[in-house]
Amino acid sequence: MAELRQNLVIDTVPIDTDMIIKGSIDSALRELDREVFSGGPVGKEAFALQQAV
Amino acid sequence: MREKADSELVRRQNRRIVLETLRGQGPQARIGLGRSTGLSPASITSISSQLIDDGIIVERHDAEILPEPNRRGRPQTLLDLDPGAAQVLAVKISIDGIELALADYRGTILHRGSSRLATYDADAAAFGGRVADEISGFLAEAPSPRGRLARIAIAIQGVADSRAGTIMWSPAFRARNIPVVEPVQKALGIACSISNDANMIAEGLDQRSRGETSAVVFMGYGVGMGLILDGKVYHGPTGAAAEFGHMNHLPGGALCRCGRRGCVEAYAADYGILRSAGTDDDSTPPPLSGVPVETMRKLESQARAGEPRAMEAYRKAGQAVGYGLARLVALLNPTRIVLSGPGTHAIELIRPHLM
Ligand SMILES: [Zn+2]
Repeated sequence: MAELRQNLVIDTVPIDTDMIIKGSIDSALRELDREVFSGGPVGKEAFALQQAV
Repeated sequence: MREKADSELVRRQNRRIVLETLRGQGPQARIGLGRSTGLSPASITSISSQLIDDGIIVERHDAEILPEPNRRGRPQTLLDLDPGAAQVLAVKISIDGIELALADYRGTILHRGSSRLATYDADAAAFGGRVADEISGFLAEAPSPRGRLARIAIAIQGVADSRAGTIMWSPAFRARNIPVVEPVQKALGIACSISNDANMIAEGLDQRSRGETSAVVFMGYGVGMGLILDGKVYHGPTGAAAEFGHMNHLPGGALCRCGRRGCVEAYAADYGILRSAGTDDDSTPPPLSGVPVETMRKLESQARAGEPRAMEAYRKAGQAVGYGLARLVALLNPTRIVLSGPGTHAIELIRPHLM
């Protein structure tokens, strides 16, 4: 790969449960930022409704 | 009306930028937040006070957060995510086991647990309900600090259909198309999503905030990819967007688990490597479940000991992944590629043949 791109880094990261758990938490939090908390009071209502289902 | 809708959109977008910046870069003073986000001081003041009123962010004194030598000048007030704004739950389902972790809004893990959960012979229709029971049991034992559970993210080995909320295929299950999201949402009333391991590893990498393009290649029972485009994990419409393993490597080549021929995976997944080493018949169908770890370890030691067929099988695997990566590099110009998964146990046998 070195010939293709000088600055391309290829790392090896062994699969690890903690990474998958951390990634799942991060993804859920980011979704919350984006889809619920960006909306403010409106988002909070939606959040409350979701809880009440 | 139009103007109102526009200003609402801008407000939403600005709130989102502020939250994403605090999440990606940690606590910041208002002035620093202005610099990082490009928002005006007036906007930062108004958005931050709204977010504080809404219970989403809090003010903290830098002395609480930063160690002495890192503090400069007079004490500063920093803005940070409020840990009590919400909680999220991560669930990892693998062969005969489930792991759970509850985290606060800042991402700090509050409670962890794991238990045995029969997967391989699980009944597809009943499985989602079993997962919901596991979650309920775990939550009943968890401490209850501030914040309500707002999202559940489930990670599985194999291929997930994130739109349908199902496990399409997994080495952990004999069944196919197992509904998970709907039964969990129904039982718990909390928004839930499902994704595969490679995507979740991509989500967890810390380069996102820098807006880079990079890829996580998963190697093991299959070959998968989590793709980060300009700092965002790309899921595509079904969550199976970056099916790197099913890119064609050799037209008419080895039989893949997907039924087609010549896919990268047919050479580089565990079953592909094992098959190349054992037979010249590349039409031998892949096993229904994964190849046992011990079998792969044995093959690795044979290759390390210089057994020609085993070495050749790893060479072919490296070549298949390498050609695939070369196409990816030409197409997307990533700055980083991360190889991950149980298959990387044999990475030193594969890496020399990537190019
Ligand atoms: Zn395929």
